[in-house]
Amino acid sequence: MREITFQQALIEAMREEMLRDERVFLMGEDVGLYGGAYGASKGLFDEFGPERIRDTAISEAAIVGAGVGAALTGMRPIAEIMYIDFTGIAMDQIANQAAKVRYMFGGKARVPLVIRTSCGSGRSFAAQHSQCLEAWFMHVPGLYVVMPSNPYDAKGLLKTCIRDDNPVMFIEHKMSYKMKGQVPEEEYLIPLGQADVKRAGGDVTVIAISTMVQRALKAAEELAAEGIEVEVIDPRSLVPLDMESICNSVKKTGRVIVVHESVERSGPGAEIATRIMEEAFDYLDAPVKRLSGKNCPMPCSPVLEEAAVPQISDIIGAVKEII
Amino acid sequence: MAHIMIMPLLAETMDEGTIARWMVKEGDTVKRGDPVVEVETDKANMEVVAVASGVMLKIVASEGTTVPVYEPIAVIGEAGEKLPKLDTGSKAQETAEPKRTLKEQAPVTLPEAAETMATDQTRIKISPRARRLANDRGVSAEALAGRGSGPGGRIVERDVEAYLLEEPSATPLAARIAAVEGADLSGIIGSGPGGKIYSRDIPAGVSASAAGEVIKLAGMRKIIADRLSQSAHTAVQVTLTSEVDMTSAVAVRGRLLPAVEKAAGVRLTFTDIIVKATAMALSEMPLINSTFDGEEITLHRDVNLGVAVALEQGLVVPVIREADALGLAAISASIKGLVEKARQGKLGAAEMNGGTFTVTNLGAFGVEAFTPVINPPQTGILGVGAIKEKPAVVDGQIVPRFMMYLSMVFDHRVMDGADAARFLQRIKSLLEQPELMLV
Repeated sequence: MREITFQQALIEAMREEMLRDERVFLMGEDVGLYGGAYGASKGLFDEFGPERIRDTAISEAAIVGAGVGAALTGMRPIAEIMYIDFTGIAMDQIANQAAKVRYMFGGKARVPLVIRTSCGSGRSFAAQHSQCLEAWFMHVPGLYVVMPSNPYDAKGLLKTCIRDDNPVMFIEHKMSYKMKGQVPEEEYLIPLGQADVKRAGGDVTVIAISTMVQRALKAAEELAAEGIEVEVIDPRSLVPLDMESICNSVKKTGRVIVVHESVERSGPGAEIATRIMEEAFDYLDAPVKRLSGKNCPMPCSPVLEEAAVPQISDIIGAVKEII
Repeated sequence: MAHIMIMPLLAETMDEGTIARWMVKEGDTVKRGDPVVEVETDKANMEVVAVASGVMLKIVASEGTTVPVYEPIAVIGEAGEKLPKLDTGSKAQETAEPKRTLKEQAPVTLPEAAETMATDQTRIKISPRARRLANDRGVSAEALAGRGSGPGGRIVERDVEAYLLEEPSATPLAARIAAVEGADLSGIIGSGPGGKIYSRDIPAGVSASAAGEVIKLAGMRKIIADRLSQSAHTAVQVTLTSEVDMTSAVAVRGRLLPAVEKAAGVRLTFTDIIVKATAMALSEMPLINSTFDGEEITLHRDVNLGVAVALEQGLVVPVIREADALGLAAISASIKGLVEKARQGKLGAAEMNGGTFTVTNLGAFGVEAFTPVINPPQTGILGVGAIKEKPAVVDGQIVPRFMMYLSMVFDHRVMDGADAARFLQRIKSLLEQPELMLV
């Protein structure tokens, strides 16, 4: 199968959906002529022109607000927020408008809006451009939260999100864009709420999110050499969350570590661990462990940045601690 | 306060139960709701749970004894507590000594683990998964104390598994005798080196004769023997046999397989189809769907169909309630569920009582026709033979057809040959033209 990058997978997904449905369009800061801050809309401007690939002002509230309005009037917008750190400016539009409108109009209004945004550390962008804030959106009823970990998932999930009639936070890790992976030429979709077992194993379940999936897989490889079999599960969407797959794995292994880059306090690991305790308590052979970003603002220094988020060696250490 | 455990009434028809196995010893700590003893009844072996938390003060009924329902089998209370007077033939030990404190008593009667517990005043750390396995296998957390290999000394699954593997060491002959007789080796101290159990260490009465194995008739086997001889000696059993052309049913089953698989996730069998046809015929002929106690014939409104299942320990007949109201997928799923429960020994009394008719199929063993024995107080039973492709004459031509024998055994005291024949004929036509089941 051919290999393409995460960034190309996103472009393909948007291009295919724009060809399929003329209501789909993209807007955001520098998504047009420049091709996106991470090149994730390269070529789309040339093909579709300024009407459907729209450069906006530097105003996140306006980007999402216009997206909600367009969605309500029958369009299927993709709104890009360059850094998830900036969603704070658009939060009223996301949490109070996009997420609530369908409910408050008794299902008569729909908001088919995808908010694409980037998250994460790794480039020394410091505390205001490096955060993982998926937990903010998991907390708001009415939003889907999707975090792909490889090109294949990115393409299949983004296409599903564009076709869905509800608002989605589609969160891409900024260190993923150059990642290469196998993606078939033919069309496919990945449903929301379907976790993927990235590696099977019987000793410990590692539930990893976004770039932590690749780290967990590398850790699992090293641990396998020592005879420890790790099962790596990627939930792919945090809302909806595939508890069935997670519990099936817990029933098998009895031990779970949830790994994510976002800070530990009230992070996605807290939610996942609680639900495991509620739904699979009798199968646990050890307390559920969280391995997450430190409870601190992201440092700018590359050394400290690395120390603030889980590394492969941390995952190996956590597995050995729990087993 | 001491609590007396009695032989519970586990099924409507139960008069007595035999103690198959005690899972605890005298002096063991028990928890209310934990299984402590396995009781053999006429239907099945069932676990009986502790009625209270405390110490197993006295086991009144030892393994192998048969006890009438509601009679005492054990006493649970606080360590050192005076035993209450027991209303049984056996002499209950009474002690005139004043009640002692737990601390004084502990070194004498409590197992080591419990003593550690009492002095440490700490909770035994055990993971939910390990606790679940321990509960399932009748192992108390206290018995596992000190064995934890998890972080902080927590008892984890592998520790329970290791504990369960620690079978007492025995010679192959002793182990074989114990397995055949169902003897519990854990209660025996062997006379061999390191306490190894020899065949001579197994209590008398539990031994293999030189001529071969001697199997004492007990429990399930005894009940089967009693009930079948009662049936054979009282019911006037007459057998009618009819050959059924199953060619259409074979085709229908083939077509329905995917639909039933989709609806109920099970594989449709011929037994399922025969059960459906039988249930339909029974609903039309109340006289066959009856029970007889020697005085009165009861015609039942519900068709509760028993399906005979052969297990290693013997025959059980789980009952499908209101089978005439169920579709094929539901019948199929119901039979598979009951058979699986029967295999695991988890069939409850409620799932075996109240049958109004029985179907038994030996076709899988290649049996062509046979005469089963009525399961009293029922008045009929249908024996199903193997489906075989053989030459048959259809419209003057010899053609291959799928043929099967059905044997209807009925109690002539309740009905006449013509009644049973009409019933058999009805099942035959339902199976030969399965579309009639849609009418």
